[in-house]
Amino acid sequence: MATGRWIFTLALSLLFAGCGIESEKPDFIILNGAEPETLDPHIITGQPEFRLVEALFEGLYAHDPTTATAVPGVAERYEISSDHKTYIFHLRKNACWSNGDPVTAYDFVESWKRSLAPETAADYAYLLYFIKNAKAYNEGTLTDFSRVGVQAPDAQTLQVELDYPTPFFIDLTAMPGLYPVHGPTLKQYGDNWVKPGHMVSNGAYRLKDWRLNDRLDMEKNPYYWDAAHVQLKTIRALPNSQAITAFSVYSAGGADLILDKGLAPIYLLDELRKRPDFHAATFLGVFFYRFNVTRKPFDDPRIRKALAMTIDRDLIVSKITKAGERPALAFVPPGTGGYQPPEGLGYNPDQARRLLAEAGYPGGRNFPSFSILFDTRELNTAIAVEIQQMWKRELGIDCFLENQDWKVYLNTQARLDYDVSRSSWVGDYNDPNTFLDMFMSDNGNNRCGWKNAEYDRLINQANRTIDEKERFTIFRQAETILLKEGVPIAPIFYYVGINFYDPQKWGGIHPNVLDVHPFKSIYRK
Amino acid sequence: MIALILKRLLGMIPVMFIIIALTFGLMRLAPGGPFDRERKLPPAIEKNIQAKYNRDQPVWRQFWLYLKGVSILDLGPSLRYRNRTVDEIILQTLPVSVTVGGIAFCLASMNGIALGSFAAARRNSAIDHLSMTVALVAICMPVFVLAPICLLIFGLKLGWVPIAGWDSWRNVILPAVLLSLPYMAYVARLMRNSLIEVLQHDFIRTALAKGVSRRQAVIHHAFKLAMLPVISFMGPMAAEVLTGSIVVEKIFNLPGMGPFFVSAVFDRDDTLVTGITIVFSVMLLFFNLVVDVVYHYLDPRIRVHA
Repeated sequence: MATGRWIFTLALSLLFAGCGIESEKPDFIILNGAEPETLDPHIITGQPEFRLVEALFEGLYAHDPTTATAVPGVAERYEISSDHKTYIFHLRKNACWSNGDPVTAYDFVESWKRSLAPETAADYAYLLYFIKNAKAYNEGTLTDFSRVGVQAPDAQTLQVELDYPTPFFIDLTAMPGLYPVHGPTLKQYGDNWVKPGHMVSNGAYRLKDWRLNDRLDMEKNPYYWDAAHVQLKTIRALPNSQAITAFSVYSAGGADLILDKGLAPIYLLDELRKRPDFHAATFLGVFFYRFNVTRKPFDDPRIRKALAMTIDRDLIVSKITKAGERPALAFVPPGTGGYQPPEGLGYNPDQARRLLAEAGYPGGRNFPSFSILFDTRELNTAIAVEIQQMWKRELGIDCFLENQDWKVYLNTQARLDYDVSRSSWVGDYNDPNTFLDMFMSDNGNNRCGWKNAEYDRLINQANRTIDEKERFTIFRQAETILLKEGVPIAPIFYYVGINFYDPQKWGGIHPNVLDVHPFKSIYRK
Repeated sequence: MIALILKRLLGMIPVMFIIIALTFGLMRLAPGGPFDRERKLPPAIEKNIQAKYNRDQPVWRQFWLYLKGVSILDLGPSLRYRNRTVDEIILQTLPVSVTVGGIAFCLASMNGIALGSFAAARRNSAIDHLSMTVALVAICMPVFVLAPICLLIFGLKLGWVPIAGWDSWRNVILPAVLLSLPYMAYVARLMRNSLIEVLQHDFIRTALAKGVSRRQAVIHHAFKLAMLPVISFMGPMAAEVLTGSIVVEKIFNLPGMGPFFVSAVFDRDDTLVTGITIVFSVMLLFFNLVVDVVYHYLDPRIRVHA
């Protein structure tokens, strides 16, 4: 029993070391999804990280809690040149870091330099590519940063020069990749600068404690320029990736707000969506199927159209996803930055059968067997099974299901080693370009093998057009090609963001297209 | 004795080398990389990231750099938690797992041994049948079924224990008990069978013939010998339980090391996978060594041969 006794002593000592005294209850507890990978604004890529970083930091512009449009943040206002290529931002004098230092235009120049520096290895550095010479600097072909189009004539003025007019540039300045970081802290602590006790930030909150897979505590930043309007003093974010556990914690009163749509238990949605604390709103995300146009028989657009026209989207959203998703006939979610997409191919099995016959497979005879690829998740399986049935029933064609673990699936898709593949896309910013530019011939996110010169030309043309109405018209032409002629994809439904909170108790949380809910405007009723 | 321990410790070095090489190699063979995401990165950015983590170098050199790190206990940066090192992740999460696992280990071994001994001593009695049924149920009933049921009853309905998290000692109870159950059942069955076998030996019959009570015979003569198979099971059990249960820690949302055994592989977080594999292997080898040492004391026959 020597082992037992030894272990017992060790365990006891650790028990008292491990669990501290029950900590003071914070003002507001959120269930935030997975453990944050990092809190470095230039490095983060996921939604859970984004929500926290948006509370800790602030860009030139920030998100309006109601509409998710860009509202002044560190910048008070901006001026734009007549060619729409130069922006001059005027920074607030009272914008401060959480240690009291003022936030200056120089901070922004240094921060954007860091975001672009190859050694930072920032995933989202490409959001800065709209700035003159930024791409070359990030790629390492240009080493002189002074030639990149960002300058600070004085501490309160930031001048940004773009390659071509970019109507959504102000929206980009509200993205973490363009947030300022505190230079001296980075220099002092290196990679450890994001840890509690080290981090200096400029948002409404500052970091108090952060324990891996346990909790992250934030407290109100007294130096924040708008601190007078920040109501919640302390916020705790609990990491959790299990829907059922998260929901139990919430039900037992252990949390006030569930923020991640992945934390809504799918099987209970029928019941849950009737409750007053269930809140869902369409946001900039679309679930769709890709066709590999480099493979037979999917190289024939008639086949792709036939398959796309036999997906009964209404059935999928009403019987499977069930959270109030809208069926998608177009790729860009309606209302993205004010854009209305064209009508795509609807549900029309009769015409689909005709197209299939025309393509040489009447009644689905001799149609080669193929697979639907998806990443392992219950929802994806359920949808794939349903679509498999639809294609069998309406077109008489057989396919089998192939599920792969996430990273394998991404790899398979990128190598174009599939027939039909489940996909999703969440917009980076509130503008149709974030959806439409991905199907340009040389875009790494195309992953269908689809190339269309006219489409490329239209997207490029739209992005050089200043007038919004004209620009959207060109986008609509391009999207029509994507949806009705090329059909490398079949959009299926638009995602909804799901939140749970008691509307009697909490105010300041609004449904919006980006599913952003800045904590600084949340208050207790 | 000391020579034996030293010899075994030295023997661990080549074993560890092979384990590290295999894990490292297998992770590199798996399709998909740690930085693959839904959004395909522009090639230049992908190149920057690969360079930052030395992944642009030949694999043998990466392996060499990694080994050099391991030799000074530097397990490298995590590829998913980009501001954390693997050392830091292990140091933060292992104590939680050891706490829950340590209690579970004690519960499993003490209850298991007691249950098994009673059952063997009163063979074919009601106690025997009852305890073996309990053991069978504990083995058959998976934790992922039991845990939500217990959470529902003790957490949500009765409110005796918190649902999840790591706030107070009350967070430990349910996970530790649940984690201990299947191990307890194994220990009980092992103990029962082993004790029944030992009780049939001649030396027990001799003791009984000399007038020792049955109770005395079990406690003083049979128990020690009957413990042997249980002890050899307890070595790997300690390593398994102390490094954290994937299921229990996930369901109770404990900040332990367990979930990383799976999530790190899915994330292709190569350094984290290799790091926790090293921790697990070291624990396993260590506890096996402890088992051997304990054997030495319990079984005179082994002592003579050594």
